Amino acid sequence: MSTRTDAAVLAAAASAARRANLIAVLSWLAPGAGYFWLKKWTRGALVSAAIIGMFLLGLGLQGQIYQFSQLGDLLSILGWIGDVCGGGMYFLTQILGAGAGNAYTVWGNYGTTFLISAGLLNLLAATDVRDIALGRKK
Amino acid sequence: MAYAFLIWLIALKFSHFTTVILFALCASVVFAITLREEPREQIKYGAFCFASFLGATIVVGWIMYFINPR
Repeated sequence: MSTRTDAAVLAAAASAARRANLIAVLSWLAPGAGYFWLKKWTRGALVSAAIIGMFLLGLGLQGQIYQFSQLGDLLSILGWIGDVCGGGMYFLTQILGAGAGNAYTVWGNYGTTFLISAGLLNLLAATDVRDIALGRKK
Repeated sequence: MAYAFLIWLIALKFSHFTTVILFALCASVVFAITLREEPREQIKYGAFCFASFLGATIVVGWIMYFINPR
């Protein structure tokens, strides 16, 4: 009896974890979408506006999106990881061919920082969504 | 077209300090929402992060000025 109950509890926990991971991946792909899924409308709107806004500002400032094929030194690898954390925004810019960047202006460097920061903030939001889905946070 | 307009707008209108303000605003919103639970705490923490970003920028700016005041 006890074993059967334990198995049911474990299965429920595994199901909840799968759901939380799915929502986190959704949030990574589309910033703020995980909050909308959990019906946290205000948080979702603010987070998506902040992250997408920061990413668009980065593109507008002619920031550079790091390409996998151009990876060389440690800084470019870290920059690429930060960009990939942007999820759907990163893949969309790759498809559209945007984010070539302009390294000859100070604005281009600012833009690159904006793009990487937007990605890292997106990762932070995705982990927060996962915590909320698991009930670790309100 | 919209992308070109965005570049033009930013190149024309944004100063360094405006750029910092926009960065601080976006980062503070996400920090507040992800690192605090209650709305009141989130507002307080967001304001603290925003003020910290700006305060640090001003302090570092003055330090750089005294290092090389040209």
